[in-house]
Amino acid sequence: MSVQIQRRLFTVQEYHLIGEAGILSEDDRVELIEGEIVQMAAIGTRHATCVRRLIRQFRQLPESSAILDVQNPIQLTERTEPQPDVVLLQPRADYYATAHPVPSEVLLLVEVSDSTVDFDRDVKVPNYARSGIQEVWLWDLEVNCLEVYRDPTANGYTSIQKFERGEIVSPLAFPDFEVSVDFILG
Amino acid sequence: MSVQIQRRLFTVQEYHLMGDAGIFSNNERVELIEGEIIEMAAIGKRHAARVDRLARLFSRIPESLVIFRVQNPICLDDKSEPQPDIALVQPRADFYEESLPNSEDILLLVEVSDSTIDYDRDVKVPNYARSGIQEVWLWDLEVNCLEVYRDPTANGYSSMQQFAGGEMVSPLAFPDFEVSINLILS
Repeated sequence: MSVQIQRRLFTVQEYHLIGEAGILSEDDRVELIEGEIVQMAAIGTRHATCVRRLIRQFRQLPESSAILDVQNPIQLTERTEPQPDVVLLQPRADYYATAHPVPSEVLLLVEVSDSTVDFDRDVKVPNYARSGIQEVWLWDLEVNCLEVYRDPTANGYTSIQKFERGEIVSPLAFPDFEVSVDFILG
Repeated sequence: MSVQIQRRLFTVQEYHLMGDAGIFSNNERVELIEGEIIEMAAIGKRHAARVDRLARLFSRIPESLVIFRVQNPICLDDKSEPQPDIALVQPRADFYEESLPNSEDILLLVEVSDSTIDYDRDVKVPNYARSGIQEVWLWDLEVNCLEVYRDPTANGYSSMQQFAGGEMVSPLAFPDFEVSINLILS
């Protein structure tokens, strides 16, 4: 018989209280996923390089069309506050000073995965779909490809497209902005 | 491939800071086991009645020999602060106001299990063994028997005896104090 236990889950509000109480420090790389405080994997050089290339690419978008956010929290639900690698946000004059961005403000969410691709694909992406994030790009560094998820539903994204080296892809929100898979994978 | 996630584990000190920050409500039943905050199962009528029977029995041991605690926390190590159903601890003038009883203070630890028997047997008992608690009684209400664990090692208790209805058992610390299995289980 398997051991069944119920871990104490946390709300976003409790998660922030834990931070304010000094329990989670700035150096603690964690995110709140479905009420669980999850340790993020250490960022390897390949992962870091891919994020740098994404920044280089996306900062070409005019400031008036998107805020480029890197490894900052977004609030998905009452129980989920992840820190995606890169997010394009709707511009806001206060740069989201009063509250973390919510799904309707996310134009594109990008995750880079090396060791964590199963967790990202099986837990985080469906979670993004349930909360209505319109588009997610998952860079799978293990097999060198990009998975593009669109059309969110409560049961996941109904559209998944795979892009390989040599191909070009554009975000839904910026159809004229072309990203070369080769450039991002290096 | 299965999804591997690494939960953020908490120390006893962090767990107390969370309590101080008001994250757990007063009537919330949680315990810290190996760095994880676990919600304790609701206490059913049968469980409560058996704990009361045990409490009446153990209250016959003279106060000069033992302090007898019911569903109070003990400190096992840096990452575990469980709340066993009953703990018989060494007498201390301050009744452990300054610090929680640790494994050296505990003469006998008793758990009553119905729905949580697997977790108690597979996670909590080995944890008690690792921290050196000399004797654990696990009342399994599903099959109506008592498991007595003795001789703690880092790999678990090296002695486990089962007692069923009709038998008598005595704690190591009080060899003349006899407990009738029938009195507790019937």
